[in-house]
Amino acid sequence: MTDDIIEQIKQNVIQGRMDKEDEGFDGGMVGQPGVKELVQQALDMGTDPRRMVTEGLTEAMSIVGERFEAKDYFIPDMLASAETVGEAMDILAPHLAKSGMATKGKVIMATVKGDLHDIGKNIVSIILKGAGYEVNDMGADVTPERIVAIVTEEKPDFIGLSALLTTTMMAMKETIESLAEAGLRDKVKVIIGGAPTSAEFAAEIGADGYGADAFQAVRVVEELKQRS
Amino acid sequence: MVEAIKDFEIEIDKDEVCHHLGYQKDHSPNSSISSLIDEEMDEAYQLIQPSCFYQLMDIRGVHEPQVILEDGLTITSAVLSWVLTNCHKVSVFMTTIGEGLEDRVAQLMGDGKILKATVLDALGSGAAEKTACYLEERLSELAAADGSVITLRYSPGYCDWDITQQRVLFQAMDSAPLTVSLTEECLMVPRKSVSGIIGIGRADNKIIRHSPCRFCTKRNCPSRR
Repeated sequence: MTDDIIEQIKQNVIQGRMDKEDEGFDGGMVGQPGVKELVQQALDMGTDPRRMVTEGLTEAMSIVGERFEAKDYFIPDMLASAETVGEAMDILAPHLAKSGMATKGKVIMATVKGDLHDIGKNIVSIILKGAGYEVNDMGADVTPERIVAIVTEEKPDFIGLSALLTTTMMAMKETIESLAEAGLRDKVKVIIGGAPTSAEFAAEIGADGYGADAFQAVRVVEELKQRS
Repeated sequence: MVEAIKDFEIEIDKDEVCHHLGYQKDHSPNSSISSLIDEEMDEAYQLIQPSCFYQLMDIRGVHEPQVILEDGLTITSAVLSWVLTNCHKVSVFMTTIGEGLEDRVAQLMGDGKILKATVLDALGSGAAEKTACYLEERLSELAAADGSVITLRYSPGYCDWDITQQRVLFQAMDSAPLTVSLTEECLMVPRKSVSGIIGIGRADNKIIRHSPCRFCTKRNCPSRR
């Protein structure tokens, strides 16, 4: 039974079905329980919340990622799936805290100083959450000083920096330099992304990685985590 | 003098919105996402307030890579020098859909409704594009009445035209009560705004409408025309 309901949670995440009102990407599923109802049912049945996360939610998002890269899924599909994971995590959070399940790491996300574009950064944030990371999103127009302060205070494992303009991408370099000046550069891995950036630019400014899209960002974070 | 056009309607193109959402030519959204786009399209129409501002200016001279306009304003771009060589005037313009849609997107994001927010933002991009197209059509009509034709539309950031040249466009229109402002980093607020330049030349000049893309080697450029 437990395996069945975890599998159902997984399939419903893949279908982007929040609740029974949703038809799902393949259609015709209105009336059947969605992720919200299934997670509650599973809890009522005494299912281990940690298994729901690792075998249900995270595995589902990994499949969503594969479909996105294969161009079977597009941005709205992955967001619908990621939102179901966000909802499931909200329901499961108190139970996971009790079971002592640790997150895979802490990530601070920010759009750099002078830039107000935040959709791309928000998409990366939600996909990282879906992959099991704790994400603290600082919003847009975040100065290097604020980043240094939060790294000092919260000691994250990663920082994700976003910029959409050629005029603001240099604030990424400034942020990395500020971290170095504060003696924090080796305490945190910095990954960057956004339309004008590239792997070459990341290397040039001394970032640890570059993600061209949300799933690549997760992959880069996972690779850096394994290496450290 | 800066002219303003307000109180007009535009029609958002769903295919273009899908393109902004990452769908490529042979792909379309599934029925669940397609219905969401339709629902949010209705909301977008309630939230947008399209408006256009433009100013016609004489070209004083073209010395590649510079185009000198009246009042000594200088556009620096080799591509634009080529485009504007056969023109006698330009229209400097700014178009916007206002702040309403952006505010709603921010609110949805804050509530964790990232899918709706992203779809609405893409609709805003589609609306901003159509607003700029509306102005382009009006300028084309205006030029035609005078026996002239217009070039394609160019914005700072296109081709070799540096984004910091936004400052020149805002300087050209600084006497007008614009509803768009420019940040130090050359970002327009509201963000769903388009600024740029359109050349105006004599209708008997056949190369006015030609795109400089045919001389460009960036074959995969997403803005290729």
